[in-house]
Amino acid sequence: MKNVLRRAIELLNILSDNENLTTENIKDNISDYRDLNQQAFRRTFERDKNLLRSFGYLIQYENDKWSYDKGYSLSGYSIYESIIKSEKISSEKLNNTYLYLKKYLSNSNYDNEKNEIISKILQSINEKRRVGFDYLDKYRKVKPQGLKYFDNKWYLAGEDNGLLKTFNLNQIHNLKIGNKADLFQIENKNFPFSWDDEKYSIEATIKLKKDLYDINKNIFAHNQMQLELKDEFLHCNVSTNDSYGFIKFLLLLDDEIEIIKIDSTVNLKELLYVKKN
Amino acid sequence: MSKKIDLQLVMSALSLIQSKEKWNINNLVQKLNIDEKDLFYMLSVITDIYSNQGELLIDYEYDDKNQDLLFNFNSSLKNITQINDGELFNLIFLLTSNSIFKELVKNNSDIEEFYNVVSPYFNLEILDESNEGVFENLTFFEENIISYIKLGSTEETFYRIQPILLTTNTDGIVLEAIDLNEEKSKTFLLNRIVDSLSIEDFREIKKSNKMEVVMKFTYLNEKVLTDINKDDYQLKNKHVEAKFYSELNAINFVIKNYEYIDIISPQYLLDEFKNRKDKLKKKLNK
Repeated sequence: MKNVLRRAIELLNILSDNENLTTENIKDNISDYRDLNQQAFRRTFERDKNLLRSFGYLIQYENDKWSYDKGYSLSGYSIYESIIKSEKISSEKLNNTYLYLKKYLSNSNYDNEKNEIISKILQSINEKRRVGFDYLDKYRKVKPQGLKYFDNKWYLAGEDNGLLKTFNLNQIHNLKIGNKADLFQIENKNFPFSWDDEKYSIEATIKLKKDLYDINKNIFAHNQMQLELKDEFLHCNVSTNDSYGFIKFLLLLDDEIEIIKIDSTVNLKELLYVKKN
Repeated sequence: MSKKIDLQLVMSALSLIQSKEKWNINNLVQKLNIDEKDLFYMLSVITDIYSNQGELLIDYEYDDKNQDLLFNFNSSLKNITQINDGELFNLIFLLTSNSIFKELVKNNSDIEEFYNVVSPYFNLEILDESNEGVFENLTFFEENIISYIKLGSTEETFYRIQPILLTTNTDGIVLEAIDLNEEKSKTFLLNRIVDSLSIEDFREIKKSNKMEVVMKFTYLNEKVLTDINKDDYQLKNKHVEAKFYSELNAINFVIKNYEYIDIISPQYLLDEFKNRKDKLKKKLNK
C-alpha cells in the first residue's frame, strides 16, 4: 500500500510539472517503474492511473493529429486553482474547511468511469468546451450547461443542435473534451427533462401514507398533484409515461397503496409479464 | 495502520502542512482527524518522494520536547497539492441538500463561506431528496434514534445508531452509521429515514432476526448486476448466484429488475413476487 501511495504521488508530481509526458519519460522518472520489464510496467502504470482516476484526477493521453506533442497530461483541478487565484478565500482556510467537512462527508462510491465522466464534464463546463460522446448508439456533440440530479441519477444538461437536452450519465461513454475553450455562454440554471412536455400515457389517482410516497416517489418519473393530505395519508393524482417504473412503484408498495382510479393507454397487466432484452 | 489513509487524505494533508513550516503535532492530528501513528506513517510515505530536480519534496524534523514538527518544502510541492474538481463537486452536492448543510453550519460557520465561494463553480440542479426536518435532531458521532423504511419494505424499523459520515452511491445519498444494538456498521439511504426521535421517546428495540438470502437467477440485461455489490455475487454464463442481506432486500431487487431477470430459486421469493403481481392485476382489473 505504501508503495502504491508513493507512486501515485510521484505520478501526480511529475504530471503536475510537465505536459505531454511520454510513457518512457514516466518510466524513467519513477523509481518503482524503472526496474520493471515493459509488460510489468504497463500493468502497474495502468493500475496506478486507475487509482488516480478513482480519486477524480484526469490523466489524458494527448493524441491530437494537429498537435506535435503527444503524451500524458494531468487535469481536473482547475476549480481549486481558480478559487485561490480569485482570493475570495485563503488556501489555508479552504483546506481547513475541506478537512473539517471530510470528517462527515466522504467520497462518492461511484465507479471509476463515472467519476471520470463527471470530472470531464465539470472541466468542460468551467472552460466552456464542447464535449463529444457515445449515447444510445449515436455520437453526440454537446455544449454542456450543467448537471442535474434526479432519482439517484446524474444527467448532463447540454445544447445539442440548438436544443437543450438532458443525457443520463449512465448511458454516456467515451466522452472527450473539445480543443477550443470559451466556445459558448452558460445561461441556464434549470434544465427541464425531455419528457416534461410530453403527453402522459398513464393518469392515476392513488392513496397511500405520505412517508411511503416520499421515499418511493423516485422509482418512476412522474408529475404529482396533491388532492388531500389527511391523517398522514396522501391522496393524489399522478401522470407518467414511465410504465415499468409505475408498475414497480405499485409492486413495492403492495397492500399499502390504493388505486382509486386509473386511465392508461398502455396495457399495464401485460407489462407485468413482459421481459425486455 | 487505520484504513483511512488514502490518496485524497495524503494530498489534503500535504496542502494543509505546506501552509506553514511549524506544526504542533496535536494540532495537526486533530485537523487531519487521524492519530499520531497514522500521521507518522503518512510522513514516511511523503518524505520518500523526490522532486523533478532530485531534491526531497518534503522533509521534517521532530522537536520531541515541544512536540513540534518543523517542515522543509520544495517549491514544486505547490503544483501537486490541490483539491481536485471531482472532490469539490462531491462535497458541494452533499452540502446542497439543505438539512445536512444546516446541521453542519451550526457547528462551523466557515462552511457557509466555503459553500458560497465553491458552489458557483458548479451549475447543478438538485431535485431535493432528503426529508426536511429529519436531520434537525440528528447529530454525528453521538447516539441517535431513527425510524427507517428498509428497501422492499413498507414498515418502519427503529434503529439506535451513531452516524459516522455521509456519502453517495448508486442508490443515492447514504448515511454510514454504527448500529449500536448490533454493534456493526450499516448504511442507511437518506431518503428512507422517515424520522429522528429523541432517546426518551424510544422504546426498547427488539433484535432483528433477519436471514441472509441466496438467490439464483438468469438475466437478459447485465445492467441488473450493477445493483448488487461485486463481492456478493458469482456469475457463470448469465447464471447468477447472489447474496442479499435479507428477504426484503432480495424482493426489492426482484421488483426493481423484474423485466430483466428470471428467478430460479429460492421458491419463496418466486411465490412472493407472483403473489404481489396477482394482487396488482386484481387492483388493475377493478
